[in-house]
Amino acid sequence: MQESGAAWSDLWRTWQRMQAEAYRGWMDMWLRAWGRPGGSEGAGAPGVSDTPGDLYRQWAEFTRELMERFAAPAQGVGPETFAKMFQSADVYANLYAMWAGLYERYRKAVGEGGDLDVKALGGLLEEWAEEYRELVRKVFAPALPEQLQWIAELYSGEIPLMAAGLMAKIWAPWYEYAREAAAKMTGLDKPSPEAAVGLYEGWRKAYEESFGRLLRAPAMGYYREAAEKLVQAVDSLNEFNLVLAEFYASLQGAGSKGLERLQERLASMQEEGKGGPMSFRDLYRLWWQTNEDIYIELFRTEEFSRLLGSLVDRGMQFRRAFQAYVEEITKELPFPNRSEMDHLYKTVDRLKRDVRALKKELAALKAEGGGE
Amino acid sequence: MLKEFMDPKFFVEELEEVNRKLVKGAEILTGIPDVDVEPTPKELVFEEDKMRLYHYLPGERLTCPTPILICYALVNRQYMMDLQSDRSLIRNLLGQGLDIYIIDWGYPDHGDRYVTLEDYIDVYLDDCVDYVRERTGCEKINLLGVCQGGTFTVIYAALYPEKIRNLITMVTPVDFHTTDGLLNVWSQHMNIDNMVDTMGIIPGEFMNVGFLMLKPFQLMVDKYVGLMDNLDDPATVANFVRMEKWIFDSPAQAGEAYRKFLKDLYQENKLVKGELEIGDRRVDLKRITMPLLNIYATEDHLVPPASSIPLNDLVGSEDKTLYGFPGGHIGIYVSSRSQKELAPKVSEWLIERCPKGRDGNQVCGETAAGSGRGAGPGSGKAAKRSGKAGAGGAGKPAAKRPAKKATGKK
Repeated sequence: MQESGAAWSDLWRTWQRMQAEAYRGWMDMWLRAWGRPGGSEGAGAPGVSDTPGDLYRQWAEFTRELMERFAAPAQGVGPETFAKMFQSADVYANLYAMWAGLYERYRKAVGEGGDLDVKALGGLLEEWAEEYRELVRKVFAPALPEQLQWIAELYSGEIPLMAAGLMAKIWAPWYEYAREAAAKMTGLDKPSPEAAVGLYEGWRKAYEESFGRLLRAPAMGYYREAAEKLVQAVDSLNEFNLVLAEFYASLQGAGSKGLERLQERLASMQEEGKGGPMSFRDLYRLWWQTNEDIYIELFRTEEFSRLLGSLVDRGMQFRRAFQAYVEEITKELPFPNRSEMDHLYKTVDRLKRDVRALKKELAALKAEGGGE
Repeated sequence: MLKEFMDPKFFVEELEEVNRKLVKGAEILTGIPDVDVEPTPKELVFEEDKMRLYHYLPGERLTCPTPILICYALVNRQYMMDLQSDRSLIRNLLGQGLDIYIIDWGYPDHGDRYVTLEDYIDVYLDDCVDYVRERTGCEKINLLGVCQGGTFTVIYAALYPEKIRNLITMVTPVDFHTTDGLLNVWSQHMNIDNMVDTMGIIPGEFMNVGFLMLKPFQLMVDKYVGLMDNLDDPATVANFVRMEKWIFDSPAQAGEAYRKFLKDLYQENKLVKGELEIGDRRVDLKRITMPLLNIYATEDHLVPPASSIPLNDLVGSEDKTLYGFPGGHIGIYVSSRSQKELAPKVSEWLIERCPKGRDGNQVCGETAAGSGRGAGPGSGKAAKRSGKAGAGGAGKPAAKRPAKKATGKK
């Protein structure tokens, strides 16, 4: 009984020690992760986790240590089991680390001083593809039977590089555009319609060279017709928006000019000695009349007239393309669409004309025959 | 320097006045009933498709038996001429002893997308003219066209001069290649075919955007700020709301008619060049030989005087009068000056040209000389029909109306 009591007492002490160590280990892990209270060791300090990936690793290490302390002496269970479990979890950690690394390099490539280097970005993608290939080779390939090892080779070789290249091609015009736009914006003294139009033209160019190509690629499969019509509608909406941007830029230009003219008028009134105190109402009147003059000057120009014509035309093109898409996707619904109704209207119109002509002929015949 | 910033007392007074008006205005606006328009009594006498012909109940005395048929534009509604009882050209003309009919074109919908300019002129307008001729027994009637409706009447008078005694055009575009009007400038670069093919009918809202752009700050800003100034005056607010109702009561335009009007007239100016064809007939303005009264508004921003004035040089009439009314396109109907001057001017001009019988009394036409009303083309049939129509049975004119010459028109 005494022996049994001593054994129990040892067991209890061991348990307490284990608890204390576990708790200390736990606290150490968090301290390492977040720094010590009082801010003596903040984020980024040596030995402190920089990313959630590091945090994960520390947590995994701690857990492994913890389990070792609890482990029974039997072989094949306990630490080894957990080691295997965490080895498989490492796959995700490695993947995460790879993406985090890519993101970090990307952030540096595009973030520093706003400088954006498309070539550097291309290199970065290649580097990433290499890492990816290495990861597949190390992590996934061993899991495959020998006969299927080629799959891992295939998907870690050309394919990711091609995909990366395609993505780079799609994004490259936008990087270029972003750099140009940033340069234009910083070089501007004040907003002008020309600059705005230039920006939109750059946008259009980037669009044409990237998503425009994708959108215009031939559609295939069961939804081919609908997909193609949707693409046409989106494409025509983009075309419309481009002219709309130019139109707004033109109006904005007139607005800026109106403000300048108002200032000139006020200055001129001041010089002529008419610059006495004016009421809000007088100022408002001067404001709207000045603006009205400026806008009508703009509206009278050939350029504006062409722009307006173009805006309406593009709007119509979009409307027509969208209508075609709506009709395509609703053709199975139990109501007639616009085209079908137009066909009916045309028929009714023709019939009305026929009836009208026949009535007229009948009346003439009756008149000739002297009948009523 | 702003007064309000220099003198706080002035600022406070302004603020107080604005607040007072806002509160009073809110009270008025929330208490105002839906505004009435077209107060002058009239009866429906004839209808065809969406078009309706109304006859205004005449006054006690008739100074000229020859009726006037008013042809309004397809854009906006004809009740601009009878907006409210104290601003009504119609009421004033009735007061001068004239007999008035007016066309209401209705609200075209998608079913009307194939209605053509030929339909408006050769069918609807012609049927109305024939109806009025038969109903009144007058061989010829007076035709008064407003704005685009004026262009219709000019075309009609050139095609059917034998039916028109006097032609009056008000703010009517004829020469479309003037650069004085923004609509004339803008229309040159519009792809009309694409618009009509896409939309079918041209929505009134679409048209209104264009009209508002003609005077953007005045029509979209100052007009409402101006209302603020008078927000405490119920009569002014009611007038404003009435006008607002008219401005945005905008029918759609039948597609094919719009296409031809814009392309042949606004873009190619065919009417002035003598190249316009309606159906298979060329419109020759020299065929207009009846007396002409051409009224334009000196400050018109929609139909600039330069677009209206040339008509007098293009017609074949010897008796022609050009009258410039000091005002704008809308003011010509609703301004207080218009109430005093325009109706007397029109009625005086018409009465002077009203034919007289052997007894010296005014009659409706030469064929009726000595016999007064009722000896016209309808030989009294129209009078019988009028009772029927007035009872709500508006129908087609008699089958025996003067036959049109056979044409290849649809």
